[in-house]
Amino acid sequence: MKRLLIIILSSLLLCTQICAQQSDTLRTVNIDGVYVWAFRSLRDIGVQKSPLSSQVLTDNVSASMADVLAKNSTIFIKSSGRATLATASLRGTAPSHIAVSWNGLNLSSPMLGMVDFSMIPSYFIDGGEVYHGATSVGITGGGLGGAVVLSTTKPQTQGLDVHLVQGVASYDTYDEYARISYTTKQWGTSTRVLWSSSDNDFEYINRDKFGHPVERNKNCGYNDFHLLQELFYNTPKAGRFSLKGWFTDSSRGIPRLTVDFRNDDLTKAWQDEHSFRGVAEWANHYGGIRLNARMGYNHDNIHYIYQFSTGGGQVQRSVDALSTSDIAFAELNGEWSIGNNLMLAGNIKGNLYNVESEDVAPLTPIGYKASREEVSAFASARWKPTAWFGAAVNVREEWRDGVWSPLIPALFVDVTVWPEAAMIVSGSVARNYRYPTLNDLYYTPGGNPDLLPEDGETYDLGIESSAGNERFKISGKVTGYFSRVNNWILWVPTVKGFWTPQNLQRVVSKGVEARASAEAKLPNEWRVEWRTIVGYTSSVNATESSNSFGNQLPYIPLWSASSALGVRWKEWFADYKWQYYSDRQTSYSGTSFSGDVVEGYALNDISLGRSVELKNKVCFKVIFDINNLLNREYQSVLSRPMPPRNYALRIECRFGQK
Amino acid sequence: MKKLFGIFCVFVATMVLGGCNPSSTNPDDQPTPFEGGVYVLCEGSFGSGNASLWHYNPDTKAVTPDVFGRVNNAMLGDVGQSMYLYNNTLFVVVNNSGVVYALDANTGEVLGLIDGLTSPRFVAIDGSGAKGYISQMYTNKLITFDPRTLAKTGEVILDGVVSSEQMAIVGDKLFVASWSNDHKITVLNTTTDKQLTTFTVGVQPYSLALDKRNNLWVVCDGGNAWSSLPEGVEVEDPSLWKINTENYKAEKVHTFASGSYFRSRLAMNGGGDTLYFISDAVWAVDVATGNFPSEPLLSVEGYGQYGLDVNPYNGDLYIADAKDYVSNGAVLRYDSTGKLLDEFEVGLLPSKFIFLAK
Repeated sequence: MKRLLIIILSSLLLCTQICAQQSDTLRTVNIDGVYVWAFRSLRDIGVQKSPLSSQVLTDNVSASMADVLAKNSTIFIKSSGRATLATASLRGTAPSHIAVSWNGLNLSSPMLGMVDFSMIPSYFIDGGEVYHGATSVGITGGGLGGAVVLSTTKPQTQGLDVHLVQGVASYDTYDEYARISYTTKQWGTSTRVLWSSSDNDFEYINRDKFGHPVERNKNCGYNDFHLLQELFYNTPKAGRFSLKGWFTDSSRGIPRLTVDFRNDDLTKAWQDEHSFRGVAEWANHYGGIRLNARMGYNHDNIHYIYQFSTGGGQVQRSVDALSTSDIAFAELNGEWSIGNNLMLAGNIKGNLYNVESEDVAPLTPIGYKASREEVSAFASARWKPTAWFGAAVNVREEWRDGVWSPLIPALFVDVTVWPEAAMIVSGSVARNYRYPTLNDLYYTPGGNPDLLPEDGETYDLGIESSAGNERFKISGKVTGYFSRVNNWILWVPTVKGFWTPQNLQRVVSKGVEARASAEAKLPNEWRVEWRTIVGYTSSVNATESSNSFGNQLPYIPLWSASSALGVRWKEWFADYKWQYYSDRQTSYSGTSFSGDVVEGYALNDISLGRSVELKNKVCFKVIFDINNLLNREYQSVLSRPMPPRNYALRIECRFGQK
Repeated sequence: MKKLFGIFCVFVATMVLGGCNPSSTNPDDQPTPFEGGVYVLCEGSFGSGNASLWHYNPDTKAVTPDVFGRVNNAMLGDVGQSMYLYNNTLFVVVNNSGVVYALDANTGEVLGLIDGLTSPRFVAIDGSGAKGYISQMYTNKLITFDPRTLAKTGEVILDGVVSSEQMAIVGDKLFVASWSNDHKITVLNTTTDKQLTTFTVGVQPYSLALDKRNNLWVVCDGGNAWSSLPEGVEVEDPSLWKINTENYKAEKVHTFASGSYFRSRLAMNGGGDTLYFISDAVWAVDVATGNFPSEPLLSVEGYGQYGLDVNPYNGDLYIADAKDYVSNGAVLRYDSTGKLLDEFEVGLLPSKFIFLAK
């Protein structure tokens, strides 16, 4: 520890000494903090969305989108620690109720319907937005909780730009990141590489085990590699073209439970994943018409193995499951602005899914093959007859394997009640459907081809405001919502010994989401930024005949909050982040005996850093992080330990930019 | 500037307070001994580590939830598999935790544990009380231990089978069912641990019970489409077998209708003359005749009932109802004629019972 401290201090001092030209250099500009003093654009009428700024996305090279969403949105991330399955819940819905896309490509597994956000490094994302509730209808169908839209963009800097990041952290954790881009007005190329590895074997007091022994987290090392290659070509007449390819190779141990008493190293589970995602895109505008077309392909291959020791160094696999999915898509988006008051928009998207799942551990392998074809079409009219009022109507229609879905309508309204304070009241109402996943329908054993789609309705009402001047800015937003999902799909056991999905439940969610932020520029180059997010989520089983009627759904915290305070002075910066989740139920029981509840927790992280720029445009940044500053013992998922106080040192270097 | 610094300090202080570790939950200082009653073991959800142990006093109808957690300030583990009572020690097998706990049956306090097990399923202790056996689902190796010290003493390899499940002891013979992906029962001599014989029954012998004449009753679930059965063995309809423990001959075999499923293990009443189990309904079989009754003792609704046992001291029937399997279950208590006496809530997926003498 002392050694690490010396290295950190030396690095920071070195930065000071080599500083030849002081300026605000590597700190990325926070586009989230840009204030729009005009009325809201037609495109955003009634929209409830939370942007993920480039600052939070590139805050930490070791962060995944799971970390970014947990700390910068009201999304609850259920995870067993770094590099473990991280699923998201928004507004009290299930992980499969969040639609997730990357440059238009659907990232949700067609088999499970959900995304592992730990597999998306935040350094590979240039822009992100969380669309809440009804607003997701404008993105895709099926997002009963909302949608997360992630994208990459052409580098903003012209010429050569090289960005290197080296991270070293507790538990033999190493993160290496490199981005090399070369951009002209017409052409652009960008290559990003990320390699992360860790033993992740932290020590903790195991309060779940009798006697509370001190133990190490077992079988939780990981080795992740990501490569993203992008090509851009802009022409004055034909528009903008891009090609993007993202390759992932990952191998991860599945951590053991805290209540696991097996002391051999051979009994373990792990998962290897290989994926490729490719997207080709074209965009152009013709007067008031903007067109955008995309097509892409997603191949994902997951190999999950659970083996146990049979003694004498022998092992036997009880699960040896290989899941392969291929998704191809094509879409066309159009927007037509008619004057300043009316915009018509439309979208048509086709997806083709092919999946194959097989467990070869049994003598007779079990599994299934399935495919699905779907087309989703969307039309929208956005109208703003006066400066203070706007309304939008969205309609979506979907077709799957020859079956038309009921119409998915959404209505949005904006009223500017106090223009000087940019105070806008917005509301929306929408209906939505989510079709069963391919596992729900065809999994062997248990798939239920007779499942009905989940159908939901959601209502939003929010108010937002912002005010300030060049030196001080403040903004806030509060949204209340109510949603109801019928035919909620739940896997239940059968007397035959396996589980099967059924349309069992009706779930009612209601809550409040609040965001506030402030920014102040002070004398002597001091700058202070603050933002806070608070969410209240009541999501209960509303099926009167159910054994768990009225109980909060598992792993949905009633309260969640996060806050960040950043202080900058010249090239120095310090960030304090705080995150809180209230108690969470682990089942539908609604009782609070041990094992029924995961205790709420608050986490504190702190970062200290310094950036410098040399004469030759080489920029350095050194950052030291202390995570879980107060050494909080906590669990996010029952019986899964989380790391105590831990440390990370990052050195960033950037050069070549004009 | 000072004002700003003050605000910053307040902000940080708030965060610090929110991040403090909670005080540990204190176990009950002096656990109150139970006087008789029944322990209910709840499996919990696989992979969640939320098995639990409850106690019920039929005289007062008092329910003590989460006995293990309250008394020992720890979690019981992942998948509460089975229980075995020997003298005043309650052995609790926690399958996916790879551990067998020895508890004081009167208080629930941990006396010791046997860890490092691969997939423990059941415990059996021989007549001398000097040797115990632990069966394991994923191997054909029984672990032997000394019940007095809880030290592992060795292992016994069962030839010709792939797994071990429920066990029954008759004199110096240990009968071991090989349920998972098998169709055999192995007989060991408990003094020498030598394998006396192995005989074939129906596919996947799931549960065993001994009657008053030491006949071994075996229920076989017949396997299913994804069973990895040995070559030449096919999935079949479930069956109930009555085995003579002297000559290992099947004296009676009842084959259930195709599509029948077993929801509970076998339960023998205290007198050893009536066998109970749940298969689409609750059945009571007179072991003297071995004839399958034409009418069930009780009909069951839903799909949650998969645990059943009989209080050997008064014949009351206990049915564990897991309800929807994702929320707390319940236990229904009937008298031996099928009259409902009581119902009480227990933890997630209740399945096993152990009855204490007063």
